[in-house]
Amino acid sequence: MPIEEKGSAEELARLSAERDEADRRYNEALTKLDAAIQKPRDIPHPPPRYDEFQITPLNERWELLSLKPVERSGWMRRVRAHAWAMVAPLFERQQAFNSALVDHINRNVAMHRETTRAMETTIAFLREDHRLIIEYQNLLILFFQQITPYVDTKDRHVAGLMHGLAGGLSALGDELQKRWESMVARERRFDAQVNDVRTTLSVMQRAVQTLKRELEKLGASGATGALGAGGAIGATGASGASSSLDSYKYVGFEDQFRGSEHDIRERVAAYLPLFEGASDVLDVGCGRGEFLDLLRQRGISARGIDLNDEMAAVCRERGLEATAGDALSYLLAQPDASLGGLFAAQVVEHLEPDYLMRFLDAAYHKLRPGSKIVLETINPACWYAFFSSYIRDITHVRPLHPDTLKYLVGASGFQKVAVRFSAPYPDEDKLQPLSAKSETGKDVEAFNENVRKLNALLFTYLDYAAIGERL
Amino acid sequence: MPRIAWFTPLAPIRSGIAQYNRELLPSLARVHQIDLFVDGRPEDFSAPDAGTQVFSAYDFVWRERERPYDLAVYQLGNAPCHDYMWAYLARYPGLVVLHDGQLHHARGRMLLQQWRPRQDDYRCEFWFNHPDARKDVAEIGAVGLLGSLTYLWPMLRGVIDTSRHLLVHNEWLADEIRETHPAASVSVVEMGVPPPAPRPDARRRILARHGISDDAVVFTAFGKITPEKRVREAVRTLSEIAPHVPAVHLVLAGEAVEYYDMATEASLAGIEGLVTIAGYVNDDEIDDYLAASDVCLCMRWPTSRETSASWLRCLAAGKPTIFTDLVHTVDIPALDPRNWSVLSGTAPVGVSIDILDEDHSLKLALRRLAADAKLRGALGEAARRLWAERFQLDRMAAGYQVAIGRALQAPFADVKRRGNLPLHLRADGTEHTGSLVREITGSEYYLRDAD
Repeated sequence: MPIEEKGSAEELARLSAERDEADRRYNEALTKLDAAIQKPRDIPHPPPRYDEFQITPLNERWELLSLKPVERSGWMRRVRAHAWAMVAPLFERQQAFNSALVDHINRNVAMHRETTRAMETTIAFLREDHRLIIEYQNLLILFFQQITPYVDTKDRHVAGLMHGLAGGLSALGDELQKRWESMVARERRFDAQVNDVRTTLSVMQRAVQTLKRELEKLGASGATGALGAGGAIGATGASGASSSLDSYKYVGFEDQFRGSEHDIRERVAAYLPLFEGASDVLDVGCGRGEFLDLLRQRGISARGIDLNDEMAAVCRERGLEATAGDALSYLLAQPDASLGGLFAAQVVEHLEPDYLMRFLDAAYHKLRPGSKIVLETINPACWYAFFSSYIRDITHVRPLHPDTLKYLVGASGFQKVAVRFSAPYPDEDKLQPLSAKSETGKDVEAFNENVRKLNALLFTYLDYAAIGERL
Repeated sequence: MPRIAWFTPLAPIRSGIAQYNRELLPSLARVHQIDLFVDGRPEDFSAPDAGTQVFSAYDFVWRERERPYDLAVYQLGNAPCHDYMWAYLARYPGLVVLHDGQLHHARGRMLLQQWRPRQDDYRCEFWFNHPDARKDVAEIGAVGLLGSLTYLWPMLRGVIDTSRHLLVHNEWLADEIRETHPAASVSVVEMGVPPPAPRPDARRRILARHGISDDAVVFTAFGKITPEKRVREAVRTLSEIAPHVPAVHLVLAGEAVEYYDMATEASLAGIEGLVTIAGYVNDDEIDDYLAASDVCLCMRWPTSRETSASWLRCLAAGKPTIFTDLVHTVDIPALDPRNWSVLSGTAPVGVSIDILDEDHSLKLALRRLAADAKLRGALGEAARRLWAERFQLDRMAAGYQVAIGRALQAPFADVKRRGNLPLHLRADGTEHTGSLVREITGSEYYLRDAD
């Protein structure tokens, strides 16, 4: 039998059914009881009272011997005496009979009277008893009829308590919601104030950057370089290093190692939503124009700049706007707040630190408020990325740890700076964990496979030689 | 010109949304062919614009089958006058204008407060709307004991899942919907009201009508007098400050309800002479009452995240307002009466009452506003400017057009999603007839759906 959860719908349904059934049976029993109440009946009346009408005459007349003639003289006396003597025995017998009869009657008068009284009393008692029984039954029915309202009042009382409890819970809920409302209203207002502070800070940073730029201009126009050797833009390693490569060779390098055009399109497409609704986006290091093309498809106006002539030419052939040249010089030549976004994929790792700082400063001034800067680079914090990708490209100047680049972007005045990781290393190529339940042989196999992978990554060769052959 | 079936309460129904539609529809009717569908006989309602026609909602189905509409628009709220729309919402997905951020009361009332309460349907609907909530919660709701806790479970999913597009009037509500229903398509259009047009000498006439002294500072609360409007708190507070401030008077310009007797309340507080219950004020007179007011009380608790049109009318009339500090109105520039600092923005339009400090803050607000005409003037001017910047009717109408455009481009809600609705919401009312037709003809031809 399934265990019924307290307060569950099943339990409530069962209780409700039980209640309905009990209610039905109660009402049936009450109806039957009501029908069985005794009705008032005709109780027999007592017989007529004992007829005592002749009792007194009988007592007065039973004596016959008193009729004996009075003693007188003469013949009449003798006649009477003679006659008397003849009837006297009869009279005596009659009187004896009368005497016995009257005595009997007299003796039964009391009994008759008692009998009648007893019958009257009994009948009256029966009648009263019958009345009391009916009254009792009626009271009983009334009592049973009171049970329902009595139970109902108890139910209502319990319901009242429940309503009180529910009212209390409701009040508690109301209080909690009031606190929540007040707290969230304050939080929202606090957020708004933080944003205000952020905006103020942004304005101040902008002012600081402007001052800094003005100071740099003053320094550059002075006879001696106040900013030192590193301050000279033209001396950056990026332009120097890149310019030392033949453009066409680097195009070939991109084709071979950075991935196909299709791969790169897929990779950079993830950044498109960040520029939704923007215009005048600059793609620094636009390469073959994969991102520019995606922006164009979204109706977002954009242009590219790449140090490599060949790359810029490839873009232009595809109808994209691209310029060959130094990114920093290009940026500095733009009016302030003229760009609606800046994108640079796999670029910043090619820049000398000083150049990178200037680049970020310039980007800050040239971007409009509300626009985004996105700088994608190799993640050197990933061992594989560093050794497999970063050091493969000889034009890379310096790896940038995610925390470093985040700090530099923030320090240049940008806000809401975040790091977004992409291109995860494939799970299947990662070291495989030992299976908890596998057979020992398989564990060893997995372990050895991991050792092999680790050796292949860490302890391969200390030196290598690139050997070519001209055919 | 797109043809739109527009479901809305209309006058003479005493609903803010009826008035809202009366004001909104004329401008939309210029660019859309709008048929209005109401709950009742069309002749009992008046079309808000000559270009629109009024039909009974019962006529919608055959009209739709005869010539399908491009879009159905549902003006949906938590009040009983919207109940009739539920029969069409799921079957004819359209643009749902969600005036309230919770519909639990409406659904509870429809399903439970009937001769035969439909508790099973209520449970199913609750569980569908809030699959993450413990099932027992529905039991408390089914016996009508949720009370204020009702607000915790808004029961919006059914509407959101079956709408082509949603329109709400505040960003907070939109964010809530987007957070809980990431697939929902929502537009935020700030509510707008027309500028007030009081009749000449309105203030003097209204004050004279109610025997209010000309020099009294008049506080007015608009709308049906219910506990949510916090009128009891206002009466109580007024009785406390009345001896300490210049002449003040409270006008309750709205219909009284049986269970909230403010006349007795005022009498018990000993200020029956300072409180006027004006009763229901028809649309033509609202502007006169606004003109007669010095300060408007627009408090609200608890809230369904609705935007108060009467509050916007107060702003449009250049009246300072006292309103509850709610999450969805924190961006409204306001003063905190506890220290008279500006809570948001730079030009406060009123005084914001922290719901946790209601009595105290309200007392401070009433006392200061009763005595400080200069502050009242400054708040009123800022209120008028705020209305002009954000809450004009034309702006709302323009926003509606954009939202209608989005809804027209949106596909009908996924039928599969509709398939997940509780059975009683999927039913279209023809099931019984259908079974009879099938039995008699062996065919469903006559009931085949037009789409």
